[in-house]
Amino acid sequence: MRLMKLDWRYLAAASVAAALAGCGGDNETTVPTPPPPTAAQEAPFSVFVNTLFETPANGTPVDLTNDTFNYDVNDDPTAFSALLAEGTY
Amino acid sequence: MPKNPWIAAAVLMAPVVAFASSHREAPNISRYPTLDGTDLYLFNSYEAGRTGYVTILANYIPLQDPYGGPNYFALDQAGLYEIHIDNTGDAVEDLTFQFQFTNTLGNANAGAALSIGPAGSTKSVAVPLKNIGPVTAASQANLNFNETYTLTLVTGPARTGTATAITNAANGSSTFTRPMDYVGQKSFGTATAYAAYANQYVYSITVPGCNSPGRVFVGQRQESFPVNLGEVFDLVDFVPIEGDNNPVYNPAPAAPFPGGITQSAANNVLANKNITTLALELPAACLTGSGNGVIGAWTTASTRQARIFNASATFSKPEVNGGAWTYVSRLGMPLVNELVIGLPDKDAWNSSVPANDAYFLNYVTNPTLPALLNALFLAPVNATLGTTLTNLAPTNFPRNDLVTTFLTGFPGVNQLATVTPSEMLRLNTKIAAVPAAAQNPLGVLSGDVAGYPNGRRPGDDVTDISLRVVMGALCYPLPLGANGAATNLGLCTPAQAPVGNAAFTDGAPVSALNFAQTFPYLNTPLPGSPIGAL
Repeated sequence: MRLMKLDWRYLAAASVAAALAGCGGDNETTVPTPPPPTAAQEAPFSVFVNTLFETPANGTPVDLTNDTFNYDVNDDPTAFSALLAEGTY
Repeated sequence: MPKNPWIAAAVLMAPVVAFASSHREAPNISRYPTLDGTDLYLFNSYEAGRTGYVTILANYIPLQDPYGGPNYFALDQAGLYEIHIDNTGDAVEDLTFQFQFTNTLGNANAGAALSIGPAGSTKSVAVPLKNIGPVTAASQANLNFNETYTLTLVTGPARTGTATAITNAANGSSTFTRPMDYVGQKSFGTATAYAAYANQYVYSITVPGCNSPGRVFVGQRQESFPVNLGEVFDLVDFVPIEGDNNPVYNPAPAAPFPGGITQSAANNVLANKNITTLALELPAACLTGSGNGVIGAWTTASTRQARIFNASATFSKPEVNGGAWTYVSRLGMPLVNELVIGLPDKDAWNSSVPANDAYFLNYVTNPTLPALLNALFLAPVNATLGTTLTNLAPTNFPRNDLVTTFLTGFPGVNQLATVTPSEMLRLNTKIAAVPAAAQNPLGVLSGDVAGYPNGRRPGDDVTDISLRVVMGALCYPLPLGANGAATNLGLCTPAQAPVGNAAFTDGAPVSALNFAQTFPYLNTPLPGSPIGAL
């Protein structure tokens, strides 16, 4: 099985870093509480799907065996509207 | 990987085992029947005048009830159906034939409509049916649903090779039509009339790099795989050894097994089903490349890895698919994923490729089916025969007899020039085809080396062959010498296979004479109506 493995921990870490950059507040010495370890392992599902759709048909499918997801758009029926509008059957 | 090549080979998979070819054989693919490959046939064409051609038939969509309207059994527009050919022996395809389907409605894809309502105030309303009147070979104007496909040849690995369109030899078109399923006799007439309609869609094709044309057909056929399916999976609810002296399955002077099942068409519970066949006939020289004349084949179905359902589904866009093609069905030798691969790995099998078959090592070196049969039948066999056998299962581990049969091919018969143990259906294109009337359903076991496991013909009883092989038939001499002289293959000994010479069978007979003897060989499908037609 020639499967590509995406490192979602990297993506999650980047997201956490971005979030931290935006909520520093006035006290620069405050050390934010790190997210639970499991949270750092989870990929935002919406990001994952959008990235997956960019993989060419003759590319390499992603091995999902050890991935867990943060289902961030479960309550948003428009989450993938852009893909639906642009994609083909 | 063990250094001993035979052990290494054993590591790689052993199909074997009998019973239900590949119908709904794994948990995941049973959710997607339109992508479920059920049987693969690969044989030197035995139609008169077609010497030098190879026929490949890949069946999909299992257990079709002919009356399954109103939608019947279209193939999946989001699917990629492939037939892979390895002609070098490295377990990687050198040629791949790709089928992709497109469905459209009548009336310029708006769907046939009727004017409904009082005169002067009618409304045009689309009808709910796929045909709105009779369809004949001469006129398909009443069809409200059309299925077309493209056929592409990829030279080199399936995902990175060079893709070229295969075209209609008559007009250069790259679009082909699949006939509508046999809705019933009121819509399509008798079986003869349906055959005339469907046969229009057998195309002569121009294959890139091939000097002679081939043929293609995609359409519904009568289920071609005979099997006692329900009783087999109900803990083999019959005695699976021939109970009389059937001239093919247990010729005299072999002893009938008391209480054993006997051959009867009634044991084939799939007889009233249809199937969908992707059929190719190609010049052998266009398939063998620079190899030794042996080719290995397997069929796969894939979908794009991501699928998003449209919350406002339409006929044209019920969903959107994206990402890389991902294998969801794989089939080479029959029955592999049914009874060799363990339940936890059946889905892995369907997403795997032959080059990685080492993953399935333990299923080959230590197959469970013989042990299961032993558990089910040891006591009854001893009670019936008055014997004191302690074990029915072969004891030659690793099972090199199975490795030869299913993973490497037989040297000098159907073994590729380079031997890479892997599961695929192997055919020696240089072994002359045998006319239908002279074929033996037991193939190589009966001395008919043009049959399974040297390729597979519609008339080969792969269930019985596989049952016998898995229980040790190759540990006994076979009639493969001159004039049928008994030949010891040297793979194992009779002492290692206490019942390896028994006439194992599921009681569902098959013969090449049950099928057409012209391309695409499989029979006209059964009609969905009237009730008495089934």
